Amino acid sequence: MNKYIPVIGLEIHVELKTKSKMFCQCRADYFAKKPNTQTCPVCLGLPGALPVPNKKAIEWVQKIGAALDCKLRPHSKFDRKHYNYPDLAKGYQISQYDEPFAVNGRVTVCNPRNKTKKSFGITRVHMEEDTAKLTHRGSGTYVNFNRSGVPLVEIVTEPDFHNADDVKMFLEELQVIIRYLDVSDADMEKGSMRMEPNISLQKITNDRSQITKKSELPNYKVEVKNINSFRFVKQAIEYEIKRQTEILEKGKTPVQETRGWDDKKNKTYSQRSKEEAQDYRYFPEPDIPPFIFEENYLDEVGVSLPELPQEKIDRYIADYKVRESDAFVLTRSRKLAEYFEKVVSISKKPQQVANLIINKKISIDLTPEKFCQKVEALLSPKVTDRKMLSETVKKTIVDNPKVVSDYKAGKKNVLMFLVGQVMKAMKGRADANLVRQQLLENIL
Amino acid sequence: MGKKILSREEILHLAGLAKLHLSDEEINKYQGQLDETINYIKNLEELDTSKVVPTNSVVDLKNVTFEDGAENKKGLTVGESLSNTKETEKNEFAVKRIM
Ligand SMILES: [Zn+2]
Repeated sequence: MNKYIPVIGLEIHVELKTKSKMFCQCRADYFAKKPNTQTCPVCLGLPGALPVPNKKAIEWVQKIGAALDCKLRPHSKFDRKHYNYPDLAKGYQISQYDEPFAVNGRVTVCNPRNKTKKSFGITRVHMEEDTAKLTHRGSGTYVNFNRSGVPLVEIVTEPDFHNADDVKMFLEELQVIIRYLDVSDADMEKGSMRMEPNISLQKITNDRSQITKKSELPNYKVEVKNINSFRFVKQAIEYEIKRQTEILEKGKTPVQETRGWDDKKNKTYSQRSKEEAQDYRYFPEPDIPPFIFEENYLDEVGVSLPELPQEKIDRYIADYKVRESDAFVLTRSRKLAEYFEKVVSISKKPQQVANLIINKKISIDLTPEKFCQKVEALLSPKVTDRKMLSETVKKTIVDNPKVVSDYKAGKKNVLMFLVGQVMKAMKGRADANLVRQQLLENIL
Repeated sequence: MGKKILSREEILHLAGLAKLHLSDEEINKYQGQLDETINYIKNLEELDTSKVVPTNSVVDLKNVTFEDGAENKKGLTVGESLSNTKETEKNEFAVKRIM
């Protein structure tokens, strides 16, 4: 039996795809742009420049908060988080400390493989600005400010995860939700979605293996950065569980620190000791007045959300009687789910349509109307031209003497080959059972 | 001089956060100056502030924003953007390698 239970929390960063940056009017789409071509005094951190928040970015962070079942705060503000690093020209990042836009959420994720549902707490969702991009070459570090000031949403979960599989499942669901909201590409390779798990191990003191109270959490936390795929998150967590178990077995405590993930060596490595929150010397951003939201406005954010993947799954099962695993596959992208719904609204055969989409029997590039016509053609009983069938069967037997003798020698599965040949010659216009029957009658 | 409020270690920690390298003489100097600052702010303790709401902003404004996609009137060219720095390479700001 394991002596330790992993306690894992997550920080996820998502870049919003607004047109403008978070606090200035520079363009936010920095991907593949020439270095330092999308800058201004604000995002370069020049003295005296004044930040003004992007309205849409705030609406979108609230949308994300509402989709994660958070409470949207009626009062919110920005704070300065101080640290010195070349990616941050001002010496501080505009972020949020004690009044984030959204708090106390929950995400329920269904696992279609074992039909279980698990739910994970969301601590907070806050708005901040991305930093400049650093490249290291030779003896230098090079700074490109195109990314500086791009709207960045930070989602923090409760330490509710106890294994790497649940983390991966949750992150995949989160990515789907964000994409449903159409506020970010949430593309890990491009860096518009980044995740940092923090991992520690809790010793099991007796057979009550539940960890619920914060006071019982381990006295250290290891954060892993630089992970750019779901697979690597899983590997990094599994590596850390093993590494920390070994340290604890020796009677020591793992160092509280930030580690990086090396995807070539499949290892985490020490980066730096983590600053305490007090070292960031947070204080309210004096250049940005606070935000006060009316109740009506906040209610409207929740109402305006699209139907989310989990809600769609529940509806497909309840109303369409579609298998849960199929409902899961169909809802992984909003576009696919909406296509499925359109086809079903015409054809009224949900499970069959689901099968045809998932097995790619009919192309989803067709219009929903065309798709339905194909559904009808495929599902309607075959009218077989008996005379043509009889001729085709005879010809197929004559043309394939080797296969026929194999069949007679006991290789029963070669019959399928003959059925296939007949069907091909009939261009699919024959009932497969009838073909089979005719072949058997003629071979014997 | 009375008892120091900030220890030598605390001064060094703060200097570290600000990326300052202090000589022994400077440590003493800063220790004195920061103690003086803290003592000055401590004067507030003479007042009853229990009913005072913390001041997050001194201006009487709220919800100040701009519309996404608004025209960028303050954008800089690469040349302007790099004009205040000594070291550049291929249109990027260059600093001593940090990793
Ligand atoms: Zn700018």
